[in-house]
Amino acid sequence: MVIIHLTVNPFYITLPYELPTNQITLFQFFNIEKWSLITNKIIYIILVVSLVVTAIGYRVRLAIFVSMVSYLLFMGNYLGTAKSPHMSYVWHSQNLIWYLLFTLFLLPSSSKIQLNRRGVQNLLKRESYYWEEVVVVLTICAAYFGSGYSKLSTSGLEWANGYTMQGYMLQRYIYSGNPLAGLIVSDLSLAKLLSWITLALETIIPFCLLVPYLRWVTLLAFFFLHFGIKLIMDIDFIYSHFLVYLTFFLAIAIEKYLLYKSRRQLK
Amino acid sequence: MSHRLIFSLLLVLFYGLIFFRVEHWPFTDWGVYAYRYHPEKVFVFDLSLKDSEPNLAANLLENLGQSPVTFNAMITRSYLKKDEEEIDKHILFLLEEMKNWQKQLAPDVEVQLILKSFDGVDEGKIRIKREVYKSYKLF
Repeated sequence: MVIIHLTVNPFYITLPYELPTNQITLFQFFNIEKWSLITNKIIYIILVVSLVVTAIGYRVRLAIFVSMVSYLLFMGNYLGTAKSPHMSYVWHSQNLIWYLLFTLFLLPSSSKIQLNRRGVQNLLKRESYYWEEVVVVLTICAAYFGSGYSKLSTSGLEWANGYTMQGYMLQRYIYSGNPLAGLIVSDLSLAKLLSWITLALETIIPFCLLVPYLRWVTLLAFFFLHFGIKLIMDIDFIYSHFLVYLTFFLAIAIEKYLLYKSRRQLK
Repeated sequence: MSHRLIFSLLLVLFYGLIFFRVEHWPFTDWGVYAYRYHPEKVFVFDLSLKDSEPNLAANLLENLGQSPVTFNAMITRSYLKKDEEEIDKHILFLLEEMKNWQKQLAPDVEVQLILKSFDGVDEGKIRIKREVYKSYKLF
């Protein structure tokens, strides 16, 4: 999914060379200057190739490490386009991918998936599998919990008084004239309701992903959350966020189904 | 590395940094929409061209390759600090880019920094107040 996301958005490569940029604070700290477009293309190729190598299961841990480092460099360079010289803040729609690469790099299973003459072999023992699944899910939850926690720690429950949501929507309405944003501005009850739903979706509901029976309902709720954000605020978390972790849950579901099928055949 | 160590390390890293409000990518600030707000206090800056070609004037920021969000983040910060010089610096940087459009613009063209704010809701229709905050001569 990350490979698709990167290949359908080639502007990630060129945009830092078309717009004024400010290096992200991590690069400033290590005195990393903006590199040339050719170097950026090379980093991009290394990133995509290492992700492909990871996907086919060859030298998985090494390939994840290379993708993790090249993603940090490549996306860090791109995010310079969104950074003001006076602030450390940059968009956070891209960092879940890096979180997941970092987590996968540390998990023992990464070296247990191997490509050999018999195809991709999973040498994993089931008992070591569950805690790793929990770590990956908690990594995904961190992205939501971070947003929810910072709202509550900064503004408390007053964040959900409806006016805050109206304020942000008004800003969006002035930027783009979006009629859905306008609808929320003119209806305080709707703004209040959406605020509480947002807080619940960001603080409590992500952890429902840990409960297998609630997982797909939770995913559906997150799809609607991201779809709503895309429609109203024109901020896209679907490709770089939702579809990336949906792939993980689909892979688990497919694996469980195949296991169930093979057990039935054995009977 | 033991499983417990990996588990704890990842949790401390991803959750600990949230609690400590570490705001540097890749552990980016999650609190971008965290502040309490009120529609009556909302203001948005925009750039406009006075008496000019409507195609150029419409979405002027986008024509300059500027996202309105990034532009507002920069100008608002300077505005709240009451740092007029910094505002001028941001705008003059964009005016340099606009000088490439010389052939399409009148010689006395004026670039306006517009301050937009909430003016109320009338029968479900939102009224926006628009005032010229500053004007700049391009040439």
